Amino acid sequence: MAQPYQPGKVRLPVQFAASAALVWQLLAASPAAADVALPAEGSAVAAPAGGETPRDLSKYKEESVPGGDLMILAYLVMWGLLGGFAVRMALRQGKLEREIASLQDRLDRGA
Amino acid sequence: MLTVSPSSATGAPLPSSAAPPAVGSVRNLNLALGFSTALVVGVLAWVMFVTPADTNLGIVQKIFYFHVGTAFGMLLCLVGASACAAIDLMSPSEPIDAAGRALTEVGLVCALAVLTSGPLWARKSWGTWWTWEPRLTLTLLVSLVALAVMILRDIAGDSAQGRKIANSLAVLAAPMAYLIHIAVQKWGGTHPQVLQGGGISSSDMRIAFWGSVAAVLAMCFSLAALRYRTLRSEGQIQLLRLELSARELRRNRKEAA
Repeated sequence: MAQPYQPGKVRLPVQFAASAALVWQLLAASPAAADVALPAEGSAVAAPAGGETPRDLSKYKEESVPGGDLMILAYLVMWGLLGGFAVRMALRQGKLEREIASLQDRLDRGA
Repeated sequence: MLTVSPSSATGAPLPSSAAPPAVGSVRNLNLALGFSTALVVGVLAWVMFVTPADTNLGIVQKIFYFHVGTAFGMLLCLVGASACAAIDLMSPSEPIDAAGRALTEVGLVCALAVLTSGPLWARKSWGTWWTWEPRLTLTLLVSLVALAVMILRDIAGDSAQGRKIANSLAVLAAPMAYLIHIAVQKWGGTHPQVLQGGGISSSDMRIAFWGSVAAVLAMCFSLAALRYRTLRSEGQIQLLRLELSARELRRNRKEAA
């Protein structure tokens, strides 16, 4: 049966977090951010345009991007997202099963 | 959510679907989650302590293993969600709908992981966080589609119309996933082509790669099963509440008579 839209019932924490992450992605992808991130003209690590990724190591190392920090951050975010989703769902499932047991109990007592 | 008939609240017997739906065993679900977590930890240890660092990129290249795994997970989940949406459009079914919603949510979580780990790798590899190249742009678009489907489903509630609109949108994920797959070959771009571009030469790296793909896919499957169970339990609660209300109504009518 179609039900009217009930704003009070709509809780979207996951969607809100997902929206925030996507907005962050868009901000990071904005021209301003790209300008800051792009190295000087002629640098070996300039963003390639449709070709192969440049790999001139001598100039590449000069920029000194902290690879270890980036890797740790990437792993934290990746597993944080998947782990957070798993924990949230497990907690929710526990709550739902307690509610099912309680409702079933009320039904059995009523019968 | 389950769509329930109001006739059940008027004294008529409840539909057979009011019986608690079989939502799988908790023990099996816990086993699947435990197995996938153990696999992830094992592969993570292999990637960190056994796999050598890339000679060109250094340690940051290790992002690649799980980045590709989550990308596979995203594509499979969204294609699965798309198939469920198509089936549900043709013949509406609560289990198929719940499976589609679960896969969409897990696919979106994977997409967020991909869209976050990718720029972190790109900063070191390409010197920029992001470029609007075809594969990246399509991945962002498919994530936005998945997000829109989730929000639509939450807002629509039990509305059959809302469910149809969300399913119609979800169907788009499959062709978009195919476009993501062929984007680099078709339109070029900077994204590396590891599998199509000759594969991985080091055996330790190969084990890390396929191990991480298997671990992430196992995790995605477990999470989708957990979310499916949650959605089915919510439907079960709705039916139990309806049955309680129906009994109360019958009792009140009897007392009034």
